[in-house]
Amino acid sequence: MAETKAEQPRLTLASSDGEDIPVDKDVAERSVLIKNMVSDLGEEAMTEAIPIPNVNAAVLKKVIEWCTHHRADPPAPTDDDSDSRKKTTDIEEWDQKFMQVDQEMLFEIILAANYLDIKQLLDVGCKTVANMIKGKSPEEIRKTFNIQNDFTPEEEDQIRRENEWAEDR
Amino acid sequence: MRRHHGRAPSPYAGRTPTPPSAEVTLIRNFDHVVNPTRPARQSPLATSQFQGMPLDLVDRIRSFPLFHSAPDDFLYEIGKALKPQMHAPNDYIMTEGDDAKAMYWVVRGAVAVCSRDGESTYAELKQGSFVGEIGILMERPRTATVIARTRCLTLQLKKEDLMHILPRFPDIDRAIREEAMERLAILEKKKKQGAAPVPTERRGSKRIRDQGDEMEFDENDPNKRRKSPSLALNDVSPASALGYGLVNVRTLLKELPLFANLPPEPLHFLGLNAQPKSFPPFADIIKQNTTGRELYFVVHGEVEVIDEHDNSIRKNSLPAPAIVKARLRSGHYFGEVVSLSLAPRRTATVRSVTQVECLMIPENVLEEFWRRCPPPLRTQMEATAKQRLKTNSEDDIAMADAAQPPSMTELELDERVGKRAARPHRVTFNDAEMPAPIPPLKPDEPTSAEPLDPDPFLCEGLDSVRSRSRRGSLAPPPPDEPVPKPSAKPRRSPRGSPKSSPRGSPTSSTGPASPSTGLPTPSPLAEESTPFAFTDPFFPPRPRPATRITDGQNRGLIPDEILVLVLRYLEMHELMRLQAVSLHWQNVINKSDKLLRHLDLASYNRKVTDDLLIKTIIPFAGSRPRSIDVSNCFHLTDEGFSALVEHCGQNVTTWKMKSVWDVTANAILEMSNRAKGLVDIDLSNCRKVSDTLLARIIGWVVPQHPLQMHMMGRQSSMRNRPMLRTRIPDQQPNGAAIPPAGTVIGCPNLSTITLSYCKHVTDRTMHHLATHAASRLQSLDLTRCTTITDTGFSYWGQTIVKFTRLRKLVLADCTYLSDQAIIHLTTAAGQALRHLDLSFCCALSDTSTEVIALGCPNLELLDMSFCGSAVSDASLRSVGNHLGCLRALAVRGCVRVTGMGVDSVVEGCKLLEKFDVSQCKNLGAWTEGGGVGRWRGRGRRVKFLMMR
Repeated sequence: MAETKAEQPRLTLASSDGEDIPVDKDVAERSVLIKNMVSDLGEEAMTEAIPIPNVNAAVLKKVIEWCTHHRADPPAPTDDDSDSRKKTTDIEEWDQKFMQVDQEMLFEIILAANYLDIKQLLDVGCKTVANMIKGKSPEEIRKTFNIQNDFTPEEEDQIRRENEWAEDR
Repeated sequence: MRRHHGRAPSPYAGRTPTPPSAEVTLIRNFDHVVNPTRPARQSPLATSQFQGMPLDLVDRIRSFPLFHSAPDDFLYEIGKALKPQMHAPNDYIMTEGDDAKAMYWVVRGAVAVCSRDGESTYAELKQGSFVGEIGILMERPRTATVIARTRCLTLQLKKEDLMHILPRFPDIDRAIREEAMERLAILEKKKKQGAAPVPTERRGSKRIRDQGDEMEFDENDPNKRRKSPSLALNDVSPASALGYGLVNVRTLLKELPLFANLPPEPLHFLGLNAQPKSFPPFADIIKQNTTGRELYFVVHGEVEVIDEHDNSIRKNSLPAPAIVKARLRSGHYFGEVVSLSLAPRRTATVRSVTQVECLMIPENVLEEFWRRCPPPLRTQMEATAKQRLKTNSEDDIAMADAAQPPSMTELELDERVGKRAARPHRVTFNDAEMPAPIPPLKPDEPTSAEPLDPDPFLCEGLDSVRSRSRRGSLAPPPPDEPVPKPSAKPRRSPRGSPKSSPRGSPTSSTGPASPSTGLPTPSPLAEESTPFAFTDPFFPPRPRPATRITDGQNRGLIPDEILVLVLRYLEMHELMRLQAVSLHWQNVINKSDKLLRHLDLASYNRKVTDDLLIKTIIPFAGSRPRSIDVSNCFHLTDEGFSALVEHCGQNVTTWKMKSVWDVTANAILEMSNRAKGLVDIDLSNCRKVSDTLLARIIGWVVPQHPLQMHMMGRQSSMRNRPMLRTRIPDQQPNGAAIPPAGTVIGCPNLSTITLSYCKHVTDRTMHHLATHAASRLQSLDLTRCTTITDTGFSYWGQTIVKFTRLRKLVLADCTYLSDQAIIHLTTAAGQALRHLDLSFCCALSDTSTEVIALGCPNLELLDMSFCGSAVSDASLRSVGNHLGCLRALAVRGCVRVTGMGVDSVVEGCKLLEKFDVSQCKNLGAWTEGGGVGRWRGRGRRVKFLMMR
């Protein structure tokens, strides 16, 4: 990676809290948003900091860390609606470790990935949260995400009964 | 008891205006149903001189091989006894093991000779064939099951009637019995062959006994009686045509022009003494330079004549397949050169291409035969043999040309002529309206020119295709010319042709089992009128997402936009359960349009019932789904399915319903009416799927002024049936008006269609696709659609609009397709195809592979597994030479493949990644010789699959 750094043109990203973060162009272009911006701005993008108004420095650094690790990945499949692949919640080991952050950071990363249009990172983030939900009881989920139960016991019971059919699969 | 006075029938006898008998009406009705353009009532002149028998029936009977030379008296007698019977498609005509009470002639349609469960088909018999005669003549249980393949008309002759009539016509009696005995003899030998090779001596003795029996053979002969029930057929190879007595030995011999004029006696001798032989694929039947004097007739399968003269030299040079001098098919013979003592040793190797069955005439029988038959015959045969020998020695593959004397044309090198030999028991009908599509690529391709049916009206090809399309105004417009005009939107241009327009035919005469009543014509324009009583899914009332408090406490930490994103990763049952987390979650889960886009019920297939669907799943999913998969939800019936369609169907583009076989065609049709935007449909194994349904789903555009076209077309065809003009106004069933021109029927975006295991899909659907969907079809899966034949693909070959987008075509297990189908296919879609699956298409020959190699240059995936007779070293060479884009090739189980062929593919296909050569028995030497390693050494990373 060391030698590629020398040749790589570098961009500067300006986070929402005003920090300028230098980053290799190919790493930054994992984000479709930035990639489009760069191609729109042309030379200007190389000299001036690109504002990323919705993402703070801490999150942006985290996102860049992910992009750097995945800089050589093949581009995400463009098929927007292929739902089947999303059903599997397998996450590769590096990404699992990467996502071991507090909930707030996790959500921030997902939001950033969504905003910056980094499909694979969004995928990993959502899968991580999905895994926190999967197979858990409503009560456990309420606990996990700090949600107050506003159903009456009767209402909750009815929902449970309606969905019993799928429980013993 | 019928009394026959032996008088010459009066030529006027039949012209009395007596009302036609029930039988005659039945036949006419059949014709009428099959071919609506035929007049329902025939001119009285068409009645024969036989009382009560229509002329065509007499002609029909006479066309049966057995009765060619039968006197009119006999036809009259038999005609009186014959009982026409109508069979709907898939009816059982006889069942293996049952008592035999009658024999049958197939007059119209086709029947399949099957195993008892109907799963494997041994043979398909068409018009003019007879079945069941062994059973009644030999008093034995049925040897096989016969199922009506199409709607068909048979003539049933009861055993008592036959036994009563036959004795008075000794010639016919003898002909039938000899035939039956020949079949039985073959059957017996076949059985013995299964256990052990038949020693010649024993056969000789048996011959004498048979000859003794032959004339005074009697029903009550105890000898025969004892013999017949012991004939267990279980040990006969089920695929064997000989084993099931399907081969008409006499006809087979007669087919050879050499024997055509032979008197019956020597023929019978030959028939009784011929020995059945079967060979596995890629076996040497005759080896060059060996001794052996047997003469072989190919009954079934194909063999190659190979010259291996300089094989030793070739081994050291570049790999090249041995010179194939000829390919012989059923009806051809080989081995006569040595049999006639014209050469000391075999002059060529004959090797089986497919599973081959032969009749072998041993040397001693042959000598006896020469003694019995007239001397000119031998001279003739010798001349043929000499001719072959000559071409052989000149190392010339020149075909013998047709200018030779007719009796000599059965040269093994001349397949063209050989195939033309009269074959009356397999009558097919020339397609008058659709001329033979495109000429075969190779001039020597056998054309199946078979005798024309005496019936000039019946046109099997299109009639069967159109027969079920009489659906009032909503029948898809049939193309009149083989090709629509190339200009001006070809999909619209087909218009009602004079002859073919099915709309105006009277429905009143439709038989009770008419398939045209399959669908009750729901109008695609009136979608809202679902024919199903549908109960409100929200009854009984269930708690709907309420909007009580949404002040944040029931939301928790997770932002809404993330919640929706995350929930997309969860399966439906999880989502349903998560409704219980909080009101807010329930709201999001129930209302977000981003969720439930893919309603996959296949994973709950055993749980999904109509009730569950209606009460729980449908209200939950609403109109969110873009794709619905109910595959294998076998509890589903019309009730649940229609509710699903009604409430969830409108935005669906992908609908998969594999094996949901209780859902009727009507309900599926409603689905296609609801989901107009359908792109992808999977109807695999849906039993109710018919051509009519598919035509309605695939759809068409109503052509300009359909009624006018209709009328104009009608007028030119009016001559035969002036009655019909007055009927036009009542032709609109249920009062449905013809939709205005340009109305789109069906799903105009449908481009991916999966129909595997849909047994009722016929050539008519292929016709419809060619006419109305050629330019949009992208993927078609016809796995095991065994009812689709070459004719279906001939429609493809004829359209001007090519299948320019057809990327993927799966024809796996379409075992009846022949090279013709492939030729048409490449014409229609050759440039577009990327993925072609032909596995188990056993009837294809090397020609197909070569045609594909030349005609489908962009092919990336080709599966020819178990296409034994289509894959050889020679055809693989053409694959290597022409298919430069190929990434994956499968030739699994193709026994003729050797290292030569594999090398030429890897050499030529530079992009090849995967090559399945599993179960290629003759690849052992190459594998052990390090074939894979050599390519590795040259830097090729082809993954070879080599399962044993």
